[in-house]
Amino acid sequence: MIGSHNESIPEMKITADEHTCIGAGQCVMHAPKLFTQGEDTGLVVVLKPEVTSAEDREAAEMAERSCPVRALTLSE
Amino acid sequence: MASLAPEVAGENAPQFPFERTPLHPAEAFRETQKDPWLTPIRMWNGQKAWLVSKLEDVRTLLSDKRFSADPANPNYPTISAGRAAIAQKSDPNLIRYDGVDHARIRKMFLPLFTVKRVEEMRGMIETITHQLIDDMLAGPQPVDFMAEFGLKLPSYVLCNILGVPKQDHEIFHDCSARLVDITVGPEENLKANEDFKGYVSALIEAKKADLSGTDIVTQLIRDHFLQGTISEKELIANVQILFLAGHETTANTLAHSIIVMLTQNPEAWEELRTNTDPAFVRNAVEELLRFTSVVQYQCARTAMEDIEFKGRVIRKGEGIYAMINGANRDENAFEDPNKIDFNRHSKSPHVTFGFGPHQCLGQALARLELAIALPALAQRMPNMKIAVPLEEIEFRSEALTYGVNNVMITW
Repeated sequence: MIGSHNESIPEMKITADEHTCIGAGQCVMHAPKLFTQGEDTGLVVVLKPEVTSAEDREAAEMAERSCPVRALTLSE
Repeated sequence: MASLAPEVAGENAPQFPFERTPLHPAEAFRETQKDPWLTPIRMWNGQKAWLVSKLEDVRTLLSDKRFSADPANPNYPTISAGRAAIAQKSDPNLIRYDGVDHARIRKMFLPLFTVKRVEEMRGMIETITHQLIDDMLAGPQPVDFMAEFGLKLPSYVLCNILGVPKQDHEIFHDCSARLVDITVGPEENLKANEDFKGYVSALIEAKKADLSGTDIVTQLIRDHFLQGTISEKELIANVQILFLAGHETTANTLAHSIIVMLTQNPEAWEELRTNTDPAFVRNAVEELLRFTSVVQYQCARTAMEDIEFKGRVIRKGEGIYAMINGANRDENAFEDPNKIDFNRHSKSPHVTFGFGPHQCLGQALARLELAIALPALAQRMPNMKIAVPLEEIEFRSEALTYGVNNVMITW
């Protein structure tokens, strides 16, 4: 039997700077599975700090581009 | 590093604002977007400033903390003597605050306008939308869309959010409509502004006396005013600006959208009527926001220090005008930018709501109102027509918020 490789799927890490955040909610709008806004503060909360699927990556990239204060960082 | 200081570049600096057409921002932006750097412009009083028309440059400069949004700064670019006079009135609202003070006020308001909080307003917005349509359908034709729907929807929604008593909705609405009506003259507008301030003060007093409400004004009083973190003047000024910023903007986006669709893109109107998929509607709203981009002359800033930008320097004290509507037609960001395409999925988000720390606080609310109202109008008034030729509609070319004072429709 051909051995199965455990190919590691590259992860994209998402971090958000709450101090810079102005609660515009663009991240939530573009990627509701990845971000939400804190109940009391309205500031960004990252729901999924690591994403792998193409769909999630694209959503994260759109969110990062849409953030008006560049509070999101995506890194591989 | 050498700067093309406006003073030096000035001889050929074009006069600003540029002329525009009803459906599109000034064609001149297509040229300025080809300039290697920023474009020197000359204001009404001969003052020079830098025009920012490329989408990427608008994003970069509006998010640079070294710029101030305060209209009272010397050299803050204005488009008329009237606007310059208003710029000197130092109303303590968050639109003109910078840095720490801006963040303090913004943080108080933003939890009230999150995507989730706004979604909870859906039922209320739907009720008002359908009532207004019912009223139009039951009445005579033609009707002024602005007066009977465009201005009324956002106004009644705001009254609800702010906890204005039902019997006062008409007063708030009429007063706010008078405030933004540029056909009545600046004195009328100023009087309406004073009246409006009075109504907002009275509303705040009433809420202070009864803290049981769930509306935004009561929450602001309970959570912030009574804690001493916002002054009375700031509270009045910010509740006032909240109403004003959410009224004629949404109204003109609605009016401009139906004018564009009914006179130029009937297939777009038909798509809105038939395609109820929420993802489609959200995208259609984004595209209409990009295309109409009604707030045109809002994003002026002054540099608080020397700012290096793409190899040159914007000097301390110089003013910039970020033209968000022109940037929304940047062909480097949007393919075929002057075409409405509800299935457009651009990698570049539009800048209709601005960019940087002052990006519109109420944008989730604006989006929801549009996503509810436009399909409802297309579905319940499918044969809506603009009752006059496009050339006869009077457009508010010089207003901060572009659009129309009135537009007659039939159905």
